[in-house]
Amino acid sequence: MNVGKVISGSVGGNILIRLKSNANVNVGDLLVCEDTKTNEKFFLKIINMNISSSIDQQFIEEIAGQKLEHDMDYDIIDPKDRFYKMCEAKMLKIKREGKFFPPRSLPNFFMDVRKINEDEFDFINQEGEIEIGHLRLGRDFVKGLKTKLPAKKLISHHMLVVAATGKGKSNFAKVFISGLLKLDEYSAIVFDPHNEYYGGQGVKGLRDHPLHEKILFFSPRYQEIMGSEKLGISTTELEPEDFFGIIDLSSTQQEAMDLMKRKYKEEWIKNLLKMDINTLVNDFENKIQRATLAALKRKIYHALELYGDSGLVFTLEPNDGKSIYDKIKNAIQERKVIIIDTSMIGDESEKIISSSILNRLFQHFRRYKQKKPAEFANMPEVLVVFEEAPRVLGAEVLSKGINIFERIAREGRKFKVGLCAITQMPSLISPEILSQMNTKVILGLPAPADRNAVINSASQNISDESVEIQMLDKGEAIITSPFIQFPLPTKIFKFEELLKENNIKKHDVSIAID
Amino acid sequence: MIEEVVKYLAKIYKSKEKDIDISKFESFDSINNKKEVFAVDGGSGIIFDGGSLIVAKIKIGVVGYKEKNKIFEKVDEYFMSVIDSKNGRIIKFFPDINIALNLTKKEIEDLPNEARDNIEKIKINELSKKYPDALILADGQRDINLKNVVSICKTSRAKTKSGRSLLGQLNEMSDKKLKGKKWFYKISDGEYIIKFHELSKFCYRVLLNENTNIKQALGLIADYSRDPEIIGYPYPLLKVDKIARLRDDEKKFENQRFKMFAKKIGLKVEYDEMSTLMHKYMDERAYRR
Repeated sequence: MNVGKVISGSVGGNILIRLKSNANVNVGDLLVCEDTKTNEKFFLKIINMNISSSIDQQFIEEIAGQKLEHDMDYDIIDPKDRFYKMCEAKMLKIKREGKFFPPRSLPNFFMDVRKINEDEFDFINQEGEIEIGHLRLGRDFVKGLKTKLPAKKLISHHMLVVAATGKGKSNFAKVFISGLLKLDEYSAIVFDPHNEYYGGQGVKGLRDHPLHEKILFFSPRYQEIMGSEKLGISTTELEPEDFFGIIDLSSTQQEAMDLMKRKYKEEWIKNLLKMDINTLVNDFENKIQRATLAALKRKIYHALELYGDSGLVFTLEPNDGKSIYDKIKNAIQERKVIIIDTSMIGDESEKIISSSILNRLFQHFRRYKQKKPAEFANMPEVLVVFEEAPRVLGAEVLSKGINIFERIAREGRKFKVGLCAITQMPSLISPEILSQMNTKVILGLPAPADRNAVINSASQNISDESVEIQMLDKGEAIITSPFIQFPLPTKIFKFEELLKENNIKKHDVSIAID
Repeated sequence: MIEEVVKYLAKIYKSKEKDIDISKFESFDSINNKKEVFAVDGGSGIIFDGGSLIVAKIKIGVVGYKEKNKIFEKVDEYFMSVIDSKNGRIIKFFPDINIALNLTKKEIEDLPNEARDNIEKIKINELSKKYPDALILADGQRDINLKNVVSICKTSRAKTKSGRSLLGQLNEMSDKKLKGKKWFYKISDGEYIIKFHELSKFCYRVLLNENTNIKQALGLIADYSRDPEIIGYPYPLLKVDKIARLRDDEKKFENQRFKMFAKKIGLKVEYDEMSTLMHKYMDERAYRR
């Protein structure tokens, strides 16, 4: 059924369509215009709508005023002819003689426009292994047509997942990781500050996935959760660089940490915290100021959340078993997904955990690439999922020094390590880092500053989609990437429904205890 | 000086001479019925002026409504050439149409209007015969006396004894005596002054057949005069005016087409056109129009 007629447009701009009075269309809908004069088929996407009239605006205002103020008894004749809706549509593709081309020409005046038919989606030539949702048309979605993302290209080129609270950021990450689990070429590390990835206590998570044996879960509550591993780190394993760019340190303090590491080796943190300041000052022959040591003692003690010699995660004592870093390296080699539950840990402590893990991982991959290139070639690509990303990639944070997250954003591609930064405030992330995030999954951003930050850093022109981005409902996304032909409107699968569809076995009743 | 003019004219506004009888004002109600309502209007204009010859375009529009829904809309287009030669005046229509024009008295530029008027009358007569139960609205036609045709004149130079506009004086009086009502005022048999909507600022001179049921006809027209685009003016006439009007851009377009076809067959018509263009040229040059 026709929904409208072309009334103007430009190749660099958009097509303007007068809509039929009963046309049921929404922003985001895909339309087709078959130009009977040129035999070209134009694939269009509605990016904005407005109401219009052949009557002057001033007069319309007067009519409304007469009704409001004087309850004028009127009767609009020919309402469909004179009061109507218009829509602006972006050209996506042109089909000419059976082949698809970029939109470099225009449909003629008064050509009919209709909604796309289900058998016409071949113009979206998707290449990808991970199904993340259905292609979305405005408010509806096409059940038969799934949005696929090419994991290999996406991971090492980094991803940004942005949305306001409750719009489905974590759901997307779980859906994407579910897709990764099915493939045997990838690994992922998820830093989970809200304990929403693994599942439990009636909440479905990745542990309910049929391939849950490919998941390694670290938690400080390891004794309460069956199958989980202890999230415990000895300070003997920490390096000064694990703290750099993570907690607020002056250059003098950073130099002091380096000196201590060189002198005390693995015991550097233990000695810093345990030894009295006079002894330390003497040990370093006054090269480190008393005040510097006092500040370091205080900062590191608090950052590690120690209560005496140990805290929930960190301990001053050596490991009683295998190091968490080695376990993670092995799990990555086995293409597993590692989830690290940081929900009970403070912000700085969580950042030190993630920083230390990623430093080891990055060095590991870099060493292999430099020294064992054949083995490196067989190593999987790793996706690092980090929530509330501005904590480590914010412009303000990075102005104080480089950290491992920034390094991965800049160099990770060379070493098969990719970031999946999740945030609701992308405007806080440095513009340079934002532009490194080649794939952007946008799930609704009402704040103009955040919307502009994402639009300005996107690898495709999505400025036309600004209205749609503002109005995206829960689970609705626009995905932009240099690896897809145009921004894909998508209704992301609900993770719980995805589990049901996959005929997931029901997990035993959770034994987690608060 | 302008104050002097106002003071001079004040006497006609203050005149005690009464030629309006307040008792002749009658109010009426709008009537919503299933009767079809048609409206006919035309537009014309010279699209090429070669001094002694002109080419004009004439558009005659017809719209039809039933219960406020449009049932008919059509515009017929005619071209007309008038050649004033030493041997006399020759008029030709494209497509051909049989109308008699007064060729001797009219200025050449008045002829398209007269032709339009005549073609409108032909259309009105055809409609009247074809739809005897329908009401047919004509725009400003003064000499049609058919039972189902009502002619509405948007403007009028009808006057009072003192020299004021009859419509102006009636409008002013009705504001005092019949505020918030639709009214009509009989001038003579088949000639009325009417306000079709209580909130309308305008009243119109209306001509109809004396055998017409006036309240029925006016009630139906009033029902079609409730559209807010011009409240108080019958919407079918507004609509037909829109579709039949020959706008300036359309005149320019037709002028270009005419000259293009002329050039194609080797005619140098622009030399003749220059014999009439100087005023326009000066306006454009001097006032950047």
